[in-house]
Amino acid sequence: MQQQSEPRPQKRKKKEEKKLEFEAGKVFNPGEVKEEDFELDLESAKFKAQKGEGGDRRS
Amino acid sequence: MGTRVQGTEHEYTLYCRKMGTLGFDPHVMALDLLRESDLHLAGEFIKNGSRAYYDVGHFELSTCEVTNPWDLVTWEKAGEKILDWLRKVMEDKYTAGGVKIHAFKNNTSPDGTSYGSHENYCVSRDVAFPEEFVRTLVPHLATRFIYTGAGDIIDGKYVLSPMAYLTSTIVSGETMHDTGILNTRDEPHADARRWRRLHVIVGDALMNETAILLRHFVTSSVLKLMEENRLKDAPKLKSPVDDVWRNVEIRDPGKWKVHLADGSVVSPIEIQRYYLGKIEALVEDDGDRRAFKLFEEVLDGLGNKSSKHLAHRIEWLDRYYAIQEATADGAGPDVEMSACKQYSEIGEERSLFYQRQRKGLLDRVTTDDRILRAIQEPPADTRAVLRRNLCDKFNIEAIDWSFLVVNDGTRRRIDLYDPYATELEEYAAAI
Repeated sequence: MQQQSEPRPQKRKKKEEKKLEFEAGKVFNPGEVKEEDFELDLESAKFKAQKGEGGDRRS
Repeated sequence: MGTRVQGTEHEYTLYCRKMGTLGFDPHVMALDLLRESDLHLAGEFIKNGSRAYYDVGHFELSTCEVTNPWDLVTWEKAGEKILDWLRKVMEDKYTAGGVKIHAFKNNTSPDGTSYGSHENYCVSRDVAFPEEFVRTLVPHLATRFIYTGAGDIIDGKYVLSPMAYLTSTIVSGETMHDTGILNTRDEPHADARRWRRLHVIVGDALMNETAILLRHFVTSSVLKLMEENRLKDAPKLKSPVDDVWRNVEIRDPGKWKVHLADGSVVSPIEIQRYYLGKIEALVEDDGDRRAFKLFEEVLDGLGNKSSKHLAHRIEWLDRYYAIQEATADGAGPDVEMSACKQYSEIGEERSLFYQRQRKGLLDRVTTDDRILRAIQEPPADTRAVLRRNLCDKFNIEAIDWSFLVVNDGTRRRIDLYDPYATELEEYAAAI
């Protein structure tokens, strides 16, 4: 015979918080994309890893 | 082919010319914003079942558990879009005067560091590890980069796959140095008596949906064949790392070579055709058929060198064309490197990848509608939906992939050891 289950823990009511709301329009509007220039700083762009140095995270 | 729980982890790089000098880390700020947002679930988890956290200077996002390569593409792209949204919120909120924040999905950054993009596959514990994996899976992992490589410029030269280029050995437990084609990390996040979590670290961060699909369709098919002991005649490679190092620098498929243990020399395309032939027997449903056809067409294209069409599906090839176009007027190495990195920007307004996708130069295998749903919801056929439902019902004190601790005064622990389970009998009524 199955044991009677314990009372389930219920979700407490949380204090109302104003949350940052995801806005799909910010990332799903390919028809309206205004292309911008690329501004990457390439001063240190020479990657000096050697073959076989997998994942070496030098800092 | 059946289902297999799988997922990916990506270390995204955020870069802002101004923030670093002011002492702000955009990776940390993005995570703070995510946890203040309506996408947050509990702890490091978000509502779509994925997990976002800070890892060695990066914003790392692990997808939720999915059961097939098509869903994998959709939820991986959902993660990209979530970070892109956070990036734009930060631009609006924290920067002034048009200062931009860049976000990249790649494996090497301009400041000279490399970082990971890992795949995870739930595999039967019954398969001998690492022996059987070395014998039957390594030949696949050592040759698949011909269609799963992202392309990159390292040491001043174009390589088909940065992570294959940086691989050091055949088998290794390391993930930050001396990495192997086969990684031995064993954290199943599930019942360890039944499953191993195969951690694949030799793959690249990919933007191209077809390449992501093929990476997971073929690799999970090979794992299925391995579990069913159907790869007894798998090709035996003589020196896979040496062949990877040589082939990864060659763009002409006609010049690729793989040395077999019996002394013969074949093409990595032929190795992949071996797996293609075996996978055909696994094809069951429409999704399998479409993925199998794509795999066959890609291998045919590599064999025929039909590169313009192939570039719609192979990232290293399309990135190469994008760099060529950017430097067509004779521009130098800085422009070359810039185009290489710009390709992997996830912001549609600057990304060369998305510019080319808008022009119809790249094939898609999912849709924006599916990705939008995947930003908000977990897949319905894995533990991710159970975790979400439990979090929606209870106050959560602690959360991980395979357990929850409920904060009800008793600190009740709920184990989620089956990654395929979408409900727990004892909690079905409650949720």
